[in-house]
Amino acid sequence: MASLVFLAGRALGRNRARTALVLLGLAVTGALLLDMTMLAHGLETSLGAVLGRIGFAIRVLPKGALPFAGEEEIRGADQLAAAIARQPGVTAAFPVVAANVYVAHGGARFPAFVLTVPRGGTGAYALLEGSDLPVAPRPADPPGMIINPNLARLDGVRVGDTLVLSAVPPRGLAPLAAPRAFRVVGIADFYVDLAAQRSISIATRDLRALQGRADGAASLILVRLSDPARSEPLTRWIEARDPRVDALSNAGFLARLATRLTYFNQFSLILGALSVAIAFLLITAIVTLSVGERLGEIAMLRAIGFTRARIAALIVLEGAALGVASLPGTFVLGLVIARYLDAILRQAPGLPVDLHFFVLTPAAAARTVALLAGTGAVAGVYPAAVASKTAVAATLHAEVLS
Amino acid sequence: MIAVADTVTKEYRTAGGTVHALRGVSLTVEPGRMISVVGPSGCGKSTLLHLLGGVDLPTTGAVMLLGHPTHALADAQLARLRLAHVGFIFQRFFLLPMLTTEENVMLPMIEAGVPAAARRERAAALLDRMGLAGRAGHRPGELSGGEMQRVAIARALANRPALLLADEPTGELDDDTGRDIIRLLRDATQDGCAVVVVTHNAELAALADRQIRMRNGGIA
Repeated sequence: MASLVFLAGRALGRNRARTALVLLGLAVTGALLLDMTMLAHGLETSLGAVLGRIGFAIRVLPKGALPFAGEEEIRGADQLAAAIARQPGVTAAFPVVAANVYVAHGGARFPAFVLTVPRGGTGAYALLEGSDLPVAPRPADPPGMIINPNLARLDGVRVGDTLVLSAVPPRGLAPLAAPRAFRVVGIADFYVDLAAQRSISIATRDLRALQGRADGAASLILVRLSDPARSEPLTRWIEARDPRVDALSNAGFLARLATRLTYFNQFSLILGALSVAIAFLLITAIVTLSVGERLGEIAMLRAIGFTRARIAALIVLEGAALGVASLPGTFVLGLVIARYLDAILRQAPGLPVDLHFFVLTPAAAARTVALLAGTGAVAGVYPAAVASKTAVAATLHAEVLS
Repeated sequence: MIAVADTVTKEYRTAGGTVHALRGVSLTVEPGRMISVVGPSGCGKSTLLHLLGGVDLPTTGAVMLLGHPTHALADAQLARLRLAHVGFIFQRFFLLPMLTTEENVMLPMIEAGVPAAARRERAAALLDRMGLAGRAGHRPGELSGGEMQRVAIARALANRPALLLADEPTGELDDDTGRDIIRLLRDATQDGCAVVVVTHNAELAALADRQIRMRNGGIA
């Protein structure tokens, strides 16, 4: 086998200009393949990384919902969170309430998204300036708030400023609660933030007071475990206790997201298959052409003792060698193109800033390497059949006559 | 005997009808002897050579190669027999252009699984014997026709064959170089190797131990 690998590798240098052009062509189509393998699971991978940073093992959501994707709420979330917190291995269970609010500051009024994430640490934001929400604020002080850099930059808000929040009027005839003043205690980078969104975090009791609600409902419950491996039994326990909710581990959450992203998979599958087909045709064409040009050499190899199977294996390896040799160009070109495509797609509104569409993972890289090398080998099958069927005596005779 | 052709015929079917390339040829090839085969183009010289070397099979009759009837061996068995015991030299050399001179010589040894150190040593000795010691790292494109044919002879001798078959080895060389090549082939017989040379050149053919003249597919 080593001798065939040696010969197949050397065959790449037979016609250098032609080989270079073929490798360039393969790098272009390989780059598309790499980008499609990156796109296929890019969003899931990217979101998985964000979830890992946030550090919660389980998310409890209204049945069938995604976080903040609609107006569904978990009724009785406070009681459910308290019950979850009492389970073994649970270190914390936080009801998270989210709402759209209006912010009044310096005579201006603008919309913002507020959520009652747990304080700092591995909650939902990383503090950039100031301090975290106070654990036990003094009753005389206005309640504290954390704002994101967008709010600070766009509206000139600084730590220590006081902002007035008012709830967005609810649907129906529910009474509108009075606006409340909050003091900015810190500026933080929110992990799941939209590109130009103004985000705020305040205490749960303060948001409920702002909304005039005391029903104990929440958008979701975040659960932190001492051992994330125990998440599956706990999710089953939560769903059994309250059938109106879904309890999702990070893997389950990503799986649910994946069902909403099937069009990305289909898109990448179709374009990836096309790029594999182009690579296949390119390699088949060039290796078949090469075999046709050196039938005399192939007949010589057969004459001096190479078996048909060894000749076939040699040609298949030549195809695979072309696929492998195109990998450096594939990765350089693919990563450059992916970077630009990702920047274009991330301009879409409503996307958290830490999410990416094209993510290079070891699995995506391995898949691309295997597909290109495998395509090269399969593309070598037809010319290998041609080469192995070469009639030795007739070919040697014909070569002399030519 | 190294090779025996017994009443061998070879026919090719073409669009224009059946071509009788060989008509009942019998020949014995003995170790340490050089046989030259001469005759006009199309008389069946190369066909006889191919049958003796087991790269083609007779239509009727039998060829025994080192005691093995070639028609009874599977393709892979025949290939292994050629690899171990038969060396081929071609008019057009058929050196692999992407390999160095040394690598071309080592090719049959690589295929036969000869250890790297042993094949390197053998290739160096053969190139030295062919007067090409300083050309080991050169590619075929950097060699003259005579040098390329000497590399081809070294390659044919690499696995110490019992039978060396040369098809018009001087066909693309000038007379002086052709004589050198024939001399090198003669030298090979001193190791007990049988040599069969197909040639148009009567002067070179005369240097063989035995000369066979062919006409219309038979031995004249």
